[in-house]
Amino acid sequence: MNPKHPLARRTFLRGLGTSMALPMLDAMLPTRALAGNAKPAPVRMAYLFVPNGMHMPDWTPEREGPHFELPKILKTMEPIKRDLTVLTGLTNDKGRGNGDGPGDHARSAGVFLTGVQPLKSEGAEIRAGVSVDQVAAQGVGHETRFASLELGTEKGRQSGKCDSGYACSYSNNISWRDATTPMTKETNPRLVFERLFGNQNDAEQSESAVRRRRFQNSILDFVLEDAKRIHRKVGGKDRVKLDEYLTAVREIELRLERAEQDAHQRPEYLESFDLPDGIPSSYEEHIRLMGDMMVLAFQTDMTRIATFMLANEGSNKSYRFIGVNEGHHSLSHHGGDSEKLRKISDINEFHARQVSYILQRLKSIPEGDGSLLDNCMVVYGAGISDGNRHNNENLPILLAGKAGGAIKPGRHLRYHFETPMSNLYLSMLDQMGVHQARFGDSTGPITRLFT
Amino acid sequence: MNHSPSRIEITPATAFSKPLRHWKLIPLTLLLQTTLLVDSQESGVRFIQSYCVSCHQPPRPKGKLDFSTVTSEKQIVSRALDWDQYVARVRQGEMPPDDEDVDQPSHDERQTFVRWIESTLREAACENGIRPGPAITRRLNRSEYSASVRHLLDIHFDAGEALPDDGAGGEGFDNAAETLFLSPIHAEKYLEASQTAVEYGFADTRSNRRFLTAQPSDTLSPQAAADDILESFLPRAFRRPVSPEEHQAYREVFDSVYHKEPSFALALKTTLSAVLVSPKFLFIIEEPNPHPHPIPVSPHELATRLAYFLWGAPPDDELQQVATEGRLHESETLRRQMLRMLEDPHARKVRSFAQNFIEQWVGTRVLGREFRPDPSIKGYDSELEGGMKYEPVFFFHEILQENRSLLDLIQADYTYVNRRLARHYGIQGTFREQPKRVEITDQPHRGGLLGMAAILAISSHPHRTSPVLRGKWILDTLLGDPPPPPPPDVPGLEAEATGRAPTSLRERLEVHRQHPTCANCHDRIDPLGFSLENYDVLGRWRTTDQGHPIDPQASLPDGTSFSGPEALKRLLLDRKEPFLKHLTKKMLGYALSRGLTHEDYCAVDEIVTELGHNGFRSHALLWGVINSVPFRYKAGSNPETGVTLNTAETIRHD
Repeated sequence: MNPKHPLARRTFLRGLGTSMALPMLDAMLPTRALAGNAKPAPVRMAYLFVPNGMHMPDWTPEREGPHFELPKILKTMEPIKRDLTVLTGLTNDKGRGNGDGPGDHARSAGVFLTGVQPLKSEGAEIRAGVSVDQVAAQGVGHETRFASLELGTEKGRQSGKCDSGYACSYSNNISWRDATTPMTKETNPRLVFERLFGNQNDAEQSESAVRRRRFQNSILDFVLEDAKRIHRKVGGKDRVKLDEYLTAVREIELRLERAEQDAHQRPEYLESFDLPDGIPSSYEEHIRLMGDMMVLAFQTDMTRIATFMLANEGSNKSYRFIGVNEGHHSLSHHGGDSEKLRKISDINEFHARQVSYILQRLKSIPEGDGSLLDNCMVVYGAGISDGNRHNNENLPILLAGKAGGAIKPGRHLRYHFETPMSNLYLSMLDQMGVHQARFGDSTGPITRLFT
Repeated sequence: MNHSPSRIEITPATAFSKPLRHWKLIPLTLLLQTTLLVDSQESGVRFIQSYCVSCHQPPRPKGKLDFSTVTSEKQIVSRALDWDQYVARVRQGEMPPDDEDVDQPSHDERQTFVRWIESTLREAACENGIRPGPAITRRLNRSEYSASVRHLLDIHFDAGEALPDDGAGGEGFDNAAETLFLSPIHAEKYLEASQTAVEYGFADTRSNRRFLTAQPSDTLSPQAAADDILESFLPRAFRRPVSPEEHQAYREVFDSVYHKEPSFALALKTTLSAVLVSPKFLFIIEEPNPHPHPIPVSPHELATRLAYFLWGAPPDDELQQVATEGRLHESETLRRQMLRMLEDPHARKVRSFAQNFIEQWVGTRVLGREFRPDPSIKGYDSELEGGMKYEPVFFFHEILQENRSLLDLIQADYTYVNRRLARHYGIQGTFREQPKRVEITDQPHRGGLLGMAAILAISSHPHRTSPVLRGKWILDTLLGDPPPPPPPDVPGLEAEATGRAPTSLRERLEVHRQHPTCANCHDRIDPLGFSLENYDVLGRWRTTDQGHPIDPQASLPDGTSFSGPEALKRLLLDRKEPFLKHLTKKMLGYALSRGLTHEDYCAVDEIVTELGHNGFRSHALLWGVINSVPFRYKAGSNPETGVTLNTAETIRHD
């Protein structure tokens, strides 16, 4: 910064006073994605995660290819069966002990989107790998207002250790910005909405506030400049911590610039969202609202990349409302008990029903010649298959959407034993236009999925 | 300027060059054994030979670890960090692995081996005196951030409310440097809050007095008024003196805005908002120590460490003043400041310390959040939840402020209850919604942490009590000796009991313990929990459970029998060392906002000794921590890589 002219390169933002929150100060929406005709609609990528494994006999379709029946858990997806590809046989090898001993739950979440063995630590040093959504965000995130969106329903235990020597950071996050920084997820639907679109009711309209907002970029510039001076003084790991902040500030700067470029009218359908103030007491409602937020963010092209943990790994939530009183995690150690297996299957089905709702929402939104879902790649699954055995092979994974036509869905594909999940991610990154030679423990692109 | 620490006038009780050897470190679990401990190199090496080398030897050692050549303590000490990891695996029962062709050590053998490695590593680490960790760089956590904004502007506004919760690391606290991550969402919220907070400050006359120290007038130019305000605002925001260049940089922000739009208020608001999003405000940043040897932290760094430790808030004006005068490193001054900070005028901040520490240490923060009793458990409501949640907080606050014995945590004749909790406990008297102190000499079941409803609840399942979870809570939380996690694929309680007539929980657990692999650990865990069975999920006293009479009898593997909570508390008081040691570790880890290392354990040992000489008073613990080498010094680090210099000469106090 030239300290004499810190404002020189800024034009004033047209602060319309729709919000007291900076990043959405003009609460306007781009219409690129909605315009449709000029460019093909962009491809979106989402990862929906559930904890504690799956009752596999009720998940895996019997037949391969296009003529498969949806088993019990997936039955609820019948209306969108032709948009699904069930992927059987994928493995997260780095979620296994590999000499690190117990802690499969924490590990299975830490590896889920990274393909990297998480470092066993209660907090002395936290390290996994950069996750696939963040690789995509770093590649194409600059094209949208938000590089990516991280959603969840549970804040999770905040104590140091969650699972056999692993810090809670591993169980509570699937998205990792870099090897040492998990992306904090948002669990309150209203806060997500306000973050994306501003806050209509609580607008700070005072004239001074509006005037002041025009100088926000000068503050950001100054912070970056100021931080550089300290940056020179600290070394090693500490520099990384400051960098985290600077990266974040820079990202907000960019977002403001994008907001300036995208000054369009706020679509009316946003007004129809009547969001509760806090987190809804109904878990089902909570999941659906968070799903709505994701759909909305994709629809308005605020971001093209999202992760959503329907619950944290190892979650011991009870599902009383579907007649399951035991905690999910306790139950997942079923020891082969048929009653417990049935209850696990019921929980799995409940989650699948919510995912089905989200996918149908995506499908209900027209985009180009088809639907929003057609331009998506939504991965849904868990980091372990059988909750009792904690195994990391043959994971329950499905992919919804056509990636803009690159996928011909409506199939059940069975992969060769031990095919890395990372192969799927590597190929998905390709579809996003983020070409990588390798990702995690990938051995090559995934076969047969993309045309 | 001479940085040699020996020139500094201090005599910390905790800095000696010899480790303590006379302290008998005998955790409860060890006392339960019948065999004698043989802490020798010989038996340790024999353990390695018997249980490790069959896999870990050439030509293809498992995990590329070859233990076949380990024959002496010296070899272990030379790779202390690695052995730290290895011994943790043995302690947790992860090694040797649970395979058919691998011999398993007995519980006693395992314990003896672990003790040997640990004491070897610690003695080596302590041999040259206590060494501090490196300079601290971390962001303020959510509550520290709120307190810091409040301090600066004197406003009733929770600036951190919209921030995401911080996860915990280190010794299990949310101020741990390593787990204070920063996502874009933080930066957004900081930015929003900086502007909202400044608006609040301007609109509030009381707040105005705090920071609006000048107004432009006929005789004072806007620029001069801004200078005046910044002169007091910046050092308070950055918790240290500010250089003329730094001041000038903020003045230029003011000027540039004023130049565009000549409004004093607008320009000042923008400038102050910029201060509130500066990393110098949002982060605690200590100057790295470029020397190869440890040096004292600077006076203002010490003031900052002290304030965030005892208050979770920045230094106040007096503390900063003492630091500026360069007197804070004088032991007497430092001690006086500590005592002042614990006094009544600062009760609100000390309570926040009490709350942050105790809730995270004993785990009651989850009450009403991750832990809610099942609806089948009657009588739970929000006033009860509040009473339960605040009982340990108010109780610990009194221990801290009134310099009470830390053993009160195990047994005390007073506690704090609100109206609802008093009824819950059957305590007579007049109470309100706010917790109030009450003498409970006539309540033998209450007093101390183990009689508190919140603790009894969070160590239960939502729908029933669990002697296993409560026993584990005692071993893990009070004694710092957590049992290893159960191996995967163990049958649950219900599965074990299948095929039998319905029995009491106790009978079912007894079955569980007949299983030899379970018994190894559950013989140590379950008896502790059984003695608390007279408390239900919400900590109410009961004599039957589902029609079965409660049997609080318990016997430890060494044959010691005891019955009920009072006997358990006596047992713990008889063997208080592991408890005091664990509490000291937690307190030091909290104060340093990081996980401890072997070097720090030397300091822990010495603080515990001092506690013994001071009637286990809380102030002796706080002073021991504050006066310790790790708290007052910082290690040298390589300016390029940031790597801590460990070859340094150590601190000697002549």
